[in-house]
Formats: sequence, structure tokens, C-alpha cells
Amino acid sequence: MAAIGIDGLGKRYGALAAVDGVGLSVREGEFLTLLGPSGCGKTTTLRCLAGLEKPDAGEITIGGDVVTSVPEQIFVPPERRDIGMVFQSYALWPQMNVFQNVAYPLRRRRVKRPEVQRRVDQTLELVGLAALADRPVTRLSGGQQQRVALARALVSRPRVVLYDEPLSNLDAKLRAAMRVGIRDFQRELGTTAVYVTHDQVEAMSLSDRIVLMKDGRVQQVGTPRDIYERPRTWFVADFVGYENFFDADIVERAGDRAVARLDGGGIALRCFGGPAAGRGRVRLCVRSTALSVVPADAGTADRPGDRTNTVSGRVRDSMYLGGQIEHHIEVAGTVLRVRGADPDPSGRAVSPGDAVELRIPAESIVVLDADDEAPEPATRGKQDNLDRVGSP
Amino acid sequence: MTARTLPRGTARAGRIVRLRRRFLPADTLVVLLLVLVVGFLFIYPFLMLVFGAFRTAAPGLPGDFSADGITGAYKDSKVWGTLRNSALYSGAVQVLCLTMGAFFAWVVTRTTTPLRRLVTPIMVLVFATPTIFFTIGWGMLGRDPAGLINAGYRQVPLLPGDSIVNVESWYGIIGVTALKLTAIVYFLFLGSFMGLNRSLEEASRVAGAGRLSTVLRVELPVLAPAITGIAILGFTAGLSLLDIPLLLGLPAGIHVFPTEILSHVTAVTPSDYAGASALSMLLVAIVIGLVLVQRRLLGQRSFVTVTGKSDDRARWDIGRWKYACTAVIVLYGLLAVLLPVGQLVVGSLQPFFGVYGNLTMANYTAVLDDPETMSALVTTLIVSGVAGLAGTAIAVVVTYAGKNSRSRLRSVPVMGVWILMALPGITVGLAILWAYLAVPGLRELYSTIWILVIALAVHAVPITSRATEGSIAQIGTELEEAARICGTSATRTLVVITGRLILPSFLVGWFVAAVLSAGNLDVPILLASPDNQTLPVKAYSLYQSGDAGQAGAAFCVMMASFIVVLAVGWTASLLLRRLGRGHS
Repeated sequence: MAAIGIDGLGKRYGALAAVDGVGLSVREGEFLTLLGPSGCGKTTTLRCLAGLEKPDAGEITIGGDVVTSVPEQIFVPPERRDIGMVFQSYALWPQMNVFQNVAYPLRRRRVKRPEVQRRVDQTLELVGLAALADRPVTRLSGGQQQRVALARALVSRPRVVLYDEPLSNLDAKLRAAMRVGIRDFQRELGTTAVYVTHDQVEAMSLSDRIVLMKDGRVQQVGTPRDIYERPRTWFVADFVGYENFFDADIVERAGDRAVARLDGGGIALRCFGGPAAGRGRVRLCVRSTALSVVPADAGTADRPGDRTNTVSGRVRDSMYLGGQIEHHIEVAGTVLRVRGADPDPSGRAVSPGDAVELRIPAESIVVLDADDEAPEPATRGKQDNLDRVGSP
Repeated sequence: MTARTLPRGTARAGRIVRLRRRFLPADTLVVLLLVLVVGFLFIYPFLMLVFGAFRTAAPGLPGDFSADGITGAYKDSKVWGTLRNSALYSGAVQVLCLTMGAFFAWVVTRTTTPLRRLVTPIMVLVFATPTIFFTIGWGMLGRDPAGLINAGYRQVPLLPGDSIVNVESWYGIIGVTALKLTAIVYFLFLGSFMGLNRSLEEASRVAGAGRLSTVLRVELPVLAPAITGIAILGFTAGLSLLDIPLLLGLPAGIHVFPTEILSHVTAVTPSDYAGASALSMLLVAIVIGLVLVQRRLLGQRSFVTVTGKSDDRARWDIGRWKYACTAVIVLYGLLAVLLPVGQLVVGSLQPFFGVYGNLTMANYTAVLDDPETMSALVTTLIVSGVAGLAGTAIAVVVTYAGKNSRSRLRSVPVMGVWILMALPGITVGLAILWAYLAVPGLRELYSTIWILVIALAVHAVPITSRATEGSIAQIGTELEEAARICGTSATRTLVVITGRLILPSFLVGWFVAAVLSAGNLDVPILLASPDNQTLPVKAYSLYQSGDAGQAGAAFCVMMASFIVVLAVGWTASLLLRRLGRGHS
């Protein structure tokens, strides 16, 4: 177990800055995930940590020892860093069987033979492969190979375990099972872990903290709940699945409470101002699942008088998603996406063409800085397409 | 509305095609035809070789059946010495080739050595230089004491003796052969090294192993099946090689299998064709056995095919060692390209071999004025071009049918071609001789260039299959199906889609086969008659009669004409492409 410090890390490939001034600290025994789209620099950061990549700038310490320091020209090779690593392609050596693969790190550390036997058996027991110790690794299923790779990374009780998208080659069901497995092993051993993934669910379910990266820079660091509920930039909000964005002005502010006026329609929404909400331009975002929709005539009957954060719109299209339904609702020229249970527990259904009332709870609105850089064009393109659904 | 009143267009759109099971679908017909062609070109000569071992007379002459040829060939105690020589020669060559080939492949794919980008072009040159000329070049270089190396050695004062190398020796033939075969071994290794999953190595580093330990415990064991396969392939190539032992080994009294087969036909009167065939059978049996073992080994390819991202960043900075590696690259380039080719050029300008003053063009005048040499040049160009084309076409059709036909016979032609893979050139020549001379009608092909075309095409097929099978395997059936769905006919699809996709590798296969055929000595040496000599045969006889300078001149003329042909082809393809662009 060891704490990790990364300071001012930089790595360029030609003109491209793969990692651009990343600073992080990982506490002893913490499970930290680097999350982001492909090309965001998360894997390069991990490889620098492992010593498989020499950075161009910055410093890395593991357990207080400087393992990489560009200014001081220190570089400890990977084999002397006392780490374990799980590779995306498993990287099991095909000429060795399960036992030999797992025993390899111990043998390189000159552990005595009976001790090797004992610890390999113990680790294989932990990952549930004790019965397959003599099997050639080429004759294992994907899930089993993954567990051998895991056992190999953990067997020498390294100070740090690194995971490079270890689950991305498995099918959905196995992935879910392995996620639980990894969490259990980590809890049992308590080793410091750094995990790289582009899968939000994986990051949320495994991590103590998540580092969201984009273009080689850190966008936000926080607990899974922080990241999910309080994204701090447009990019993070988009990445963790916020679907609805509005440009607006803060027109009133009283302590934490604020009122924002949306562009175009004159609609005012109450919200809780985050750090971004002074008076002036902001961007509001809200999840499709936070909105609720009722037919225009029923809404007022239900809660007469309470029209706070309620807007009128018209359903343009509905998509059944299996257990859920997604409506595309046009409000003052913008199309909002609203997702709810289907069938609706209240028994009310709306269909395309209906006039509806839409309730946007103030606590579900996240207020972002209006000057944020736009997320990847690719994801925006997808949304534009969705917005056009239903229009001829 | 009744069907009768429908307009024609509607009727056409709704036309019902009657589905009937045809007696012989076109597909099966094509495969049957292929079985016949492959049977005639590949299997029949092979059977005739066996048949020939039991004949008392030369091919095409009346004779009896007898086992005398076989007993005669194997009773001779010399044959076992020859077998030992062959094994020793090829084995020693393999040790050198594997080391050098693996070393160069490793330097190119895994290190930051300066000049590493020169290695592949050097290897291409070595591979393309005809073995016969490579051998003549080295023969001139290292024949003591007149060659360039020994002449240079004498210029350096204070060194003992008159010469340092004598290539007409065991060391000489092994060294020269290793220099030549390293190119092939290198290309075979290159694929394995590039396919090696980098993360296997990284996992070992992270697990606490150093670089050397990783190479020894992970990389070499992972590549073991590939290394063994390449070693076997190289060993068969060494066993089959004629040129170097013939020119450099025989003067030193070293006999190997191919030279022994040749001397049964050419060194005794009357020629002992039966004995030659009997010896060939043993060589063929050994080679086929080894090829089968090799196929078996490479069949379990799960070791090497796990590929990872092969990017430049995983290269090792090997520090000061990179200068040592650069030095090895330069040394190899010197020994395998500059020296032998340089010697051929210098030799072609010398009035007499070993005379370093008074350079003249006399050899060129002699070569260009000699109608026999000029006709040999023309024959070589035509024969190699046509044989390369035919060999590539056969390989493509056989591979394509093997992949796409639904006929149960589809794998028969593939097997037929594969079984005879790596058949030594000298036995191909001998087998063709038996197969065509013994049959009236086919007999007339002898003394025309067509017998050479057929033999060289047959001999080229293993290489052209190698060059084209990858691209054929990669053409997804979906691409063809998509074209059919879009309304293209089956035949048109074959030409426009499939043909277009195969074309680049077809051209590469054709080019490689043509270059190898043009430099081939062991196939035409038994088949060529005075009317259909090829340049390698001519160069061999020039060298034997002491006209090494003229052989050098012939080499330069042949290379020059190759360059002209290539330049014309390249310009033509450029023009065609420009025209094509103009159309679209």
C-alpha cells in the first residue's frame, strides 16, 4: 500500500499533447478511476505511472519514493516500481499455464519455492480458479483469462495495482460479474488502485474517487456522487449523461437560491446557484429522468396553484425503451428529452401531438459557466440528430 | 386486372426464376477443371519422377523397367556421405540465418538503432539478386588469391600470407549461403515480430522482470513455434539450393544432394536419369516431410497471432548498443550487396580477371555481340514474365476456388499445390523432363521456351500463393454479396470487385515470381537446350569456362533490362491511372 503523487505530468507525441499538466494525488488504499473518452490521456497517464512511458514533464512519487522526475532526470524502470498491472488484452503469456503466469511476479522477486506455491494457491483461490492451475492459458474463456490476469497483478501484494480498461473485452454480463469481483478483491486486499476506463458505470460502481479527463487535462475530481450530481463543466455534464442544456441569464439571486431566465421564451426557472451562478450568463442542464410530464389539463387539477418551474410544451415524438419511455417535448423552440417509467405509475399517458405540462424540479437543475468549451462534436452531433427525430 | 394485361415492366420485376437442381453446377465444373489442371501440372510430373526411377533409358527413349537405377544410386556408399554433407551444410547455414534474420527483425521492429530503415531495402536487394550472380560475385571476390578481397588484403602492409578468404571451401559455401538466405528468413521473422503483442512484454516488466529476462523468458518462448517453423522452412531451402554448392562447393570436392542429382545426368555418359530420379525421390521425401512438420507447427499459431497496437513508442532505446547494431547493418550491407555486386561490375570491366588496370568495355562488346547471350537474355525476359504471370494466375484461381467454391472437391487443388511446395528446383526440372519427353505431342515442347515457362510457373506457385493468399482471404464475402444485391452479375462482380481487390497483390506476386524465375538456375539447367537457354544457364557456363568477366557483364545487362522493363511498366500504370482519373 502506498500513496501516489503526480505533479505537472506532461507527455507529447509530436504535436499532440497526450497528457498536459496533470496533477493528482491518490491516498493510501484508495481506489481512483481515470475516466474519459478515448484519446483523453487517461491510458498515457497510467502508463507513465507504470513506467512504460517516459513523460516529458513532471514528477511521480509512489509511497514517497520519486519514481519519475523529469527535472531531476530520475526514471525508475517498471520492474523496480513494485506495482501490479492488469492489461486490456490480458497479456497472459501463452507458453505458460495458469500457475506459471501467476507465479511469475513472485519468481522475479526471488520468493522461495514453497512460498510461491502457497501464495499462488491462495490468490487463485481468491479469484476462483484454484481448479484450473495446470490449464494452458490459451484454453481459458475470456472471463477466466481476465481473472488470471487479475491474480497475476495481485499475487505479489504490490504497493499499487494499475488497471488498464480490464473489462472492455468482456461481454456485458461477464463485465457486471467481474466488476463485483474486482471490488471484492480490492476490499479484501486494500491495495491502492488506479483504474482506467471509459465506462461510466464501471467508474461509478468501483471508485472512491473519479478523475474526469479531457484532452490530456483534468476536468473534475470528485466522488462518484459528486461527478454524477454536480458536474462542474459542460463536458463533464455531457459525459455523465445530462441530456438537456439551456442557455440562460441569472436574473435574481438570494443566497443559494436563484432565478434563471431562459433565452428565447421568457420562461423563468428557480434553481440553486452553484459556484458558477453569479448574475449573468449561465448554462443550465438537467437529466431527462429528473423531469416529469403530465397532460396539460391534468397538471393544474393535481396541484392547483403550484406552477413553480412548470412549463408548457407539445410532445413531438415518443420512443419506447423497454420499461421506460422517452418523450421529445418542444418547449419554446427547444426540444427537451424527458424519460419516465412506462407504464406511468399514475396511469396517465401522453402521445405525440399532445399539449403537456413539464415540471423541472429546482434541485435537479445544475448551473454551469456559460463560457465552457463545448463537449466533443461527435456527441453533439448525435444529440442534434435526436432533436430532429419526428420532424419531417 | 389479370396477369395478361400487366405491362411488360411489371412482369419483368415479378419474374419468377425457376429453381432447378442442375446436374453439374458451374461451380463444380470449374473446380473439376482445376483438379485436372493441377493434376496435370503438379501431380503428374511428380508421379513421372517416381516412374523414371524404374526406367533403364533416358526420358522419351525406349527402355525397360528395372530397379537398377535405385539400387545403383543407393548402393554407392557416396550417397550417404552426400546426405551427411547436405544436412551439415543446411544445418550450419540455418544457425547463421536464424541468428542474423531474428537479429535484424528485432533491430528493425524493436529498437531505435540508426539506419534501421535501411535494413528492409537491403534485404529486398539481396532477395532479388539472382542466386547464380550472387554466387559468381562471391566466387570472384573470394577465390584465392585474385578476388577483390584478397587483392585488397595484399595491399595492406604487414599482414601475413597472400589471402584471407577462400570461398571454395566449407566455410565459404556456408557463409555465402547464409548471407543470401538471411534475407528470406528476415522477412519471415518480420511478420512474427510485428505481430508480437507488446503488452506481453510490458506485463513481464511490470511483474518485475528486467529487459534481458523478458527477452529470454517471454519473447523467445512466445516466438518458439514461429522460430521452429522458419528454421524448418529455411532448412529445406538450404537442402534444395543448387547454385552455391555447384559453383563454390564442387571445386572443393563438397557434394550435396542437388549437385549429386545434376552430376548423375551431366557428369556421366550415358546420363543416369534413373539414378538421378532415385536420388530426387529421397530429397523430395525429406522436403515434403519437413514441410508437413512445419505446417503442423505453424498450424498452432495461437502463440503469435495475438496482436497489439504496434506503435513506435514501444521501441527500446538500447543506448550505446545501437552503434554496434548499426555497424552490423553496415557490415551486412557491405557483404551481401556492395561487395558481390561491386565485384560483378568491376569484374565486367576488367580485361582479364584480377587485372585492375586498363578497364575496358570488351566484356560488354563480347556479350552484346554474342547472339547466343542476347537470345538467352530475350528468352529469360519472356520466360520469366510469362511464367510469373501463369504461376500467379494459377495460385489466385486455386486459392480463390478453395475459399469460395461450395464443391466438395474444392480443397483438392489446394492440397495438390501445397504438397509439392518447396520442391527442389532441380527435381522439378527432372520431373518435367520425364513428364513431357515421354509423351508424343508434349515431346515437341522440349527445345522450345514453353517447357521452361511451364516448369518455372510450377516452381513459382508456392511463392505466388504466399504473396496472394492473404489478400484473397481478406476479401469478405459481404463485399461480393453487396455487389450482387446492388444488381451486379456474378461474372461482373468477379471482375469489378474481386479482381480489383486482388489486383495489387497479384501484381506483387507476378513481379516477385518473375524476378525469381529470371534468376533461377536449377530448374532450367536440365531443361534448357541450345535453342532455349536462359541467362543464368549461360552465365553458369561462362563462369565455368573462365569468362567470369563476361558473366558479370551479362548480369549488368540483365539488371539494366529489368530496370527498363520496370520503368516502362511503372510509366504505363501511371498513365493508366491518369487516364482512369480523367474518366471519372
